[in-house]
Amino acid sequence: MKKILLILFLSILPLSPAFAGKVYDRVMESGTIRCGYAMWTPILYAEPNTGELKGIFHDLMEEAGKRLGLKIEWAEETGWGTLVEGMATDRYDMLCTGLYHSTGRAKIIGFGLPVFYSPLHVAAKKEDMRFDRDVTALNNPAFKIVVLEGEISSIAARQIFPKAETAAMPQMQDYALILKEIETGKGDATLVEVETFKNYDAANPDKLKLVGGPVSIFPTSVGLPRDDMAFGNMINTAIEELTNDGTIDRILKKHEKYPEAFLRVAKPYDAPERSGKKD
Amino acid sequence: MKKILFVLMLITASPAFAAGVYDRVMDSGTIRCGYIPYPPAMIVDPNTGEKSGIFYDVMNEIGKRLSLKVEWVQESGWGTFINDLKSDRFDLMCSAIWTNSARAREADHTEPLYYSAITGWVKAGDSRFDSGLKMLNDPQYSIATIDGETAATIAKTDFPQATLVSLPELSAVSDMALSVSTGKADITFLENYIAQGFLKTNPGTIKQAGEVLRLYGNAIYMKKGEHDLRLMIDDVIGEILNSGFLPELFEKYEVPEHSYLIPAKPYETAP
Repeated sequence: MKKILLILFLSILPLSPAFAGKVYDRVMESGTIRCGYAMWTPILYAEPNTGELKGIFHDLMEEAGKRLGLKIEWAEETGWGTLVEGMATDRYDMLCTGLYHSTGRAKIIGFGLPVFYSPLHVAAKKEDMRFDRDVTALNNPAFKIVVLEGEISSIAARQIFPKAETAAMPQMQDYALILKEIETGKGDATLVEVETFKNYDAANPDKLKLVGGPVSIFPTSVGLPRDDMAFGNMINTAIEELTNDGTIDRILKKHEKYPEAFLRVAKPYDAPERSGKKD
Repeated sequence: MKKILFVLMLITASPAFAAGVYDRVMDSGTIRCGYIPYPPAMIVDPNTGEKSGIFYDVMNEIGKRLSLKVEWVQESGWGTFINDLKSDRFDLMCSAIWTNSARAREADHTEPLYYSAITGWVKAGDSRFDSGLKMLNDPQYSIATIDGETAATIAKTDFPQATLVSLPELSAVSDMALSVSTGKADITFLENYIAQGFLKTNPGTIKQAGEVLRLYGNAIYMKKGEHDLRLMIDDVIGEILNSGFLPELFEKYEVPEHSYLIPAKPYETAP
């Protein structure tokens, strides 16, 4: 009988309002956010000599932690394709790197408010004119798009150019190797963000080009546990505060080499002419 | 055995085991509001106790649209309202609270009804900061602040090299504007509503300088984890923002132009 009562008691505990959310309760109890992360310069990267983490999302998370009075523990590095699995198995509390929002990922994780927007372009060989007039010509089984497995290029290629052949490279691969595949003619095109392309172009001038305007613009943010809104709301308020007081803009300016690489989040308010009473 | 049953009964009957706030509100048909007087969002007449204000009217409108009664049950304070929410003294903090990270640890909030912007204010005719505040981070420039007030925090964070002209802790915020208009300091940082109020009584004495330095959403707060309640209130706030209700309240409470920033429309206007 005692056992039955105990089971009854334990089974109704989670119904208590004190149970705001599994991750939220754990984080508030430990005073620490455990971060899972994948690296991509300048989103998040390690200094080659010291291993010290740096980058946009490193600075963002450390500042958010300071304001929330919580320690940020960079708990586990993983690949882009396996990032979300660690969330499902509670190996870390959130994903503290810059993730493009995508429908496929949204089945497993939630996303924070956008920190910035990333334009994604088609890149092809400099002399290749086949897609110049109309980039949708790439949506043809005759063409091969080289992508990084699990990363947004593979997701976007299958969504935007579903008829084209895709060749996926292993997920821990440096993206420069994918661009090299295009340069050496092993693929017709890839999908790439501005910063990555311009870094490659600076080291390998006049080999590749961006074709037309962006094929998509992705909100980029942290990954959150899907079923814990108490935790998600807390992180989102911190992101909102860091956006509104200019901190994120300062962090982006510190890390970006090319001004058009990271599009800023629009102001949440209308022009002041619309507010208040006219005298 | 009787003891165990008794303890179990006590625990399950305690407020901590009560249903969530959303269930309580829907069962009772009443939203119990806490409030903090802070004009023009929440005004309490010192003589009659009569309540009014932008958030007061909005909350009553929310109640009307949700077919729920709104009861203004308890005045609270800036430092105590989150504990009051946690201990169920009221269901919602119904007057305007600035959203920030520190509060996000302990409570959730709705979408903002409007934003309060803090910008630089200089003496009228001073053109030194017309192109922005970058040069302000220099000991030759002075900033009027009040110890512990937001202007002091901004000055120390964003312009650490500038000279501070610190006013006593109990000074009125508008005294910082007075320091600038009388030339005792080069600049101060004020919420636009305060600055516009100062200009109403001291026309043409100060002017805005530079971009928005800080932006705070004015929102309704609730206990952490009350997602159903938040979604319900957010839906009505969306309705209110998409109607002409808020501009009418700005007119009603004589809010000076440019005092607050209204959330951007979720749609593009036709070209």
